[in-house]
Amino acid sequence: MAHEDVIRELQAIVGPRWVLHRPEDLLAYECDGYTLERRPPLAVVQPDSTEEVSRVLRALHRRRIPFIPRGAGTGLSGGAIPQGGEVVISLTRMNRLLEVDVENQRAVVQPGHVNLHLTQKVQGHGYYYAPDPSSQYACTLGGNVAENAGGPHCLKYGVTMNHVLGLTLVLPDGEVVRLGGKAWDYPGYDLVGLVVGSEGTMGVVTEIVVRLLRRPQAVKTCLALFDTVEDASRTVSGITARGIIPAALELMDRLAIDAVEKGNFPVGYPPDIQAVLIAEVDGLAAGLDDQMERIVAVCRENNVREVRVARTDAERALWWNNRKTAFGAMGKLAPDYYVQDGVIPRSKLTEVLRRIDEISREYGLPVANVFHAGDGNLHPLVLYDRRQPGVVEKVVKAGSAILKACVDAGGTISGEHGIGIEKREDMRLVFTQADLDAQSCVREVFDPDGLANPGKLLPSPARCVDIRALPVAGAAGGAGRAG
Amino acid sequence: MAAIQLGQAALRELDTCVHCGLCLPACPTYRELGQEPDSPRGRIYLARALFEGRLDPRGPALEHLDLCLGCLACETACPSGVHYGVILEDVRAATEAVRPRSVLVRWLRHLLLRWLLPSPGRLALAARLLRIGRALRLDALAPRHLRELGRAAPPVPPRPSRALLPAELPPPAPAAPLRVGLLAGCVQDVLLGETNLSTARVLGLYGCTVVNPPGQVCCGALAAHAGDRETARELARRNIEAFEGVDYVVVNAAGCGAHMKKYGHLLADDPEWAVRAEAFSRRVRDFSELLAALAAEGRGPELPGVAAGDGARPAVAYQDACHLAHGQGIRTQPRALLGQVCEVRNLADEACCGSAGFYNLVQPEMATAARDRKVEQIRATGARTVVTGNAGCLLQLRAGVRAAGLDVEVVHIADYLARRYDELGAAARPAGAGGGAQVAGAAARRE
Ligand SMILES: Cc1cc2nc3c(=O)[nH]c(=O)nc-3n(C[C@H](O)[C@H](O)[C@H](O)COP(=O)(O)OP(=O)(O)OC[C@H]3O[C@@H](n4cnc5c(N)ncnc54)[C@H](O)[C@@H]3O)c2cc1C
Ligand code: SF4
Ligand code: SF4
Repeated sequence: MAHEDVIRELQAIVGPRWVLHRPEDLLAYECDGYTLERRPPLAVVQPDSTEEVSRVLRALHRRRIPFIPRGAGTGLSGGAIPQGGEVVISLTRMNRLLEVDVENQRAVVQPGHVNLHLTQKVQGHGYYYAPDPSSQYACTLGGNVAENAGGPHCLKYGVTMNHVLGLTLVLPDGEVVRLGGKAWDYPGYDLVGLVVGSEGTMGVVTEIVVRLLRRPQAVKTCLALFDTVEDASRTVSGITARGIIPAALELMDRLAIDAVEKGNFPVGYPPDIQAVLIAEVDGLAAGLDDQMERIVAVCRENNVREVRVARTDAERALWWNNRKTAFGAMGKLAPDYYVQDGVIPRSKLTEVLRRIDEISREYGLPVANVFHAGDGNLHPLVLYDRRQPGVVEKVVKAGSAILKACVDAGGTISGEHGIGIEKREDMRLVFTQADLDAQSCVREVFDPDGLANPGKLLPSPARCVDIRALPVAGAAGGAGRAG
Repeated sequence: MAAIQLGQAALRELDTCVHCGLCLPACPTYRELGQEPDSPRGRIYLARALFEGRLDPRGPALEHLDLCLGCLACETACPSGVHYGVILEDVRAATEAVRPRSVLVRWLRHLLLRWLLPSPGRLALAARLLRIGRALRLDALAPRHLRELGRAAPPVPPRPSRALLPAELPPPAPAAPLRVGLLAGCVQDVLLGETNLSTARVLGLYGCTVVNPPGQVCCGALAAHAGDRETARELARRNIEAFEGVDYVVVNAAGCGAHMKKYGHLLADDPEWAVRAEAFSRRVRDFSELLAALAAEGRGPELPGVAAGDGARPAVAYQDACHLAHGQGIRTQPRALLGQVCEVRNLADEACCGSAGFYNLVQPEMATAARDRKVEQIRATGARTVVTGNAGCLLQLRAGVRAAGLDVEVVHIADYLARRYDELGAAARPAGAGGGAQVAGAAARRE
């Protein structure tokens, strides 16, 4: 085997049990939650400490072997999928909660810690970790940091970036750096902000200092059933137009409802409604009833068929479990799905949904819609069966057409799932070549040899060296994060 | 490379998996190793690759399927409702013929699955040999984990439980009795027969006539899980035959119950047996499932000794057997029954204890890791008694608490209820209370 000596060195660092290299053991690492492309890695290594990660990266750097950090592999944009020849650095063993500092409302965790487990461990103290992706049962905080993950409650509480104070990052050459820290702000460039959302292209995150929030005193949740998606969309704009800031505002259309009702947590929605809206408000108990009444009133103004406020925690939990398993439950409708992650201005909701419906017809592919309606983050799910000849290309095209519709409406191409390999080329829809080149330059500061998760996030020919000669003005602007 | 053949049912389940990964943290082997091939999603992926001919079934891929406990925690976690167990069983059946196994192992499997387990007579004989072996201290020759398990087992009783139970045992106070057939089981019958006797006694207190049909055999779950589907089908046919004419078939072992509820699937393509098998499966009830339904209708013993809120109730930790909780969705019923007579404490999670059929014999390392986690959870409840609804869990946990030096007793729920009812002086309710017709109605609704 050509790579025997690397394998041996990796085994010496982490122990033989924690290096996978036989083809049979690598197959399951071919892809993550995005299944349109697949290729096995060279090896998988599972370090147990920052120190081990550093030694592993140094060994790979010496041989110029690229690497891919991987958490739970729930990513939906193919961020953890090999392009050929990479070593996967699996962070699953580094899943410890290192420190909980309730008084100062923060905790230090390793990257393999599962999102939901953090909340479960601190809730006894009356705290929780706010970003709650629907994959929170399984996804890791390292993956959340890399994707700048969002979730239903990010409408009010913000995405991962707003909850990370500091990071330990192992650079591609093995050097360990600490960014940010335990304070709520630091002087100088916001390097934490830069690494959050960088999709593993700057190194491996090995420790994360997160903010904990105090559990809201009270929560109220309502479920509104509509006869048309338009009525539900108008309700969304109506609620925000009135200055109410719900903790969450989630919408599912008919096809999505079909899936969740066949899944593990059926609510028992009437079979003929076209849209379900979940609205939640939280905060001080006083005033919540009033807010909820105003939300219910907006629903009524928009021809709601039925609106219920949760009476018990169990009822509320059922509604959320039902909603949170929407992607997973798609298996009940079709063998494969491809989920998009477009963002649009809320006011364009009805218009873009109509366009998505047209695209669905044009390509002859059913599309289910689930979305964080409050922040205009759409998740159209294109349903297909990969065994049909030629269908994959059609799916990819339909996906691009949907993204283009989002951009045309004044939106962008990713709300929370990242770019990965999936949307690399679509980056051109929102950035000019100069913008992309500038981003490449930033990346190269951290990863001059191009070893950190290569081929992800930026479209291929964008390389810093090619554009050093460009006038500086051309590289300015637009370097902000997509989504 | 030869692709393996899978049945329609398994292929449908493969298609239902969308590779989302939400099942990963539920899986005990993934939690232990953090490796995708040893996760439900990974195993499903490998199964598909075997079916598509991308992987050689004679290669190491099967190691990952072998390391699976079959605990079905992934089924509870999966938002798509993938029936992983169907895939696992099918892959095991399909790969059995091509597996590299030594002649000795093949012969032992054959001996165990086809010769010993299906025959009550040979099992009784084996038990007698075991008694002698123990008396001569031959068990000192066994590997450590086997010895630990062996010590957890009670002394081998001289006779199997089926020989002690009459063919029909009427309830103490007959009130339009339900006729229920009691599955004696295979290993349980000869090693833990006491539990069957307790089960029969408790069923009597709930107004059941307990039938012990002479033709009954091992349920076949072990054969099915080990990939020997033919033996499993033959055993199913014999049990269907034997239990004709009872209202319910009551099972006090979680794995057996889960399997017998699937006889309908197992024989679906057998034109002679499909309909009977389906009808049989609909009559199968776990012990706690039937009792809780009867209790809800006002049947069951009168318990003069316990007033609600009685502070003196003993604390008991309840361990969910995987094939009850994940396999049959039975979680509340045993707790409700126990709640009549004690204070029930929950363990931190529903993870498998590592027993899992033969698993603790063939994968001692992983089984012991799972067991030790469980024992820590037991310690954390502070209860001195752990109750479970499955013989396999029982032996595994006994070995675990012993190894950890914990002073905790592990009891089957039937034995525990029987004991508590005795202590409290429970009396059978007089004739007239409750009615079988309603129970039958409840059963029909479930279907
Ligand atoms: C059913 C379902 C629902 C989802 N819902 C949401 C949602 O509501 N909101 C949302 O934002 N996302 C959602 N996602 C997408 C996904 O769960 C998130 O992107 C999540 O943050 C990925 O975490 P992970 O641990 O699985 O990372 P992985 O998939 O393993 O990796 C994702 C990316 O992060 C990088 N990475 C992982 N760990 C590290 C590390 N320690 N250091 C550096 N880079 C690293 C990888 O290289 C890769 O590029 C959903 C996914 C599924 C399957
Ligand atoms: S949760 Fe279900 S659909 Fe998702 S990967 Fe696991 S088995 Fe497949
Ligand atoms: S049955 Fe249990 S051990 Fe096997 S994959 Fe599912 S959760 Fe894991």
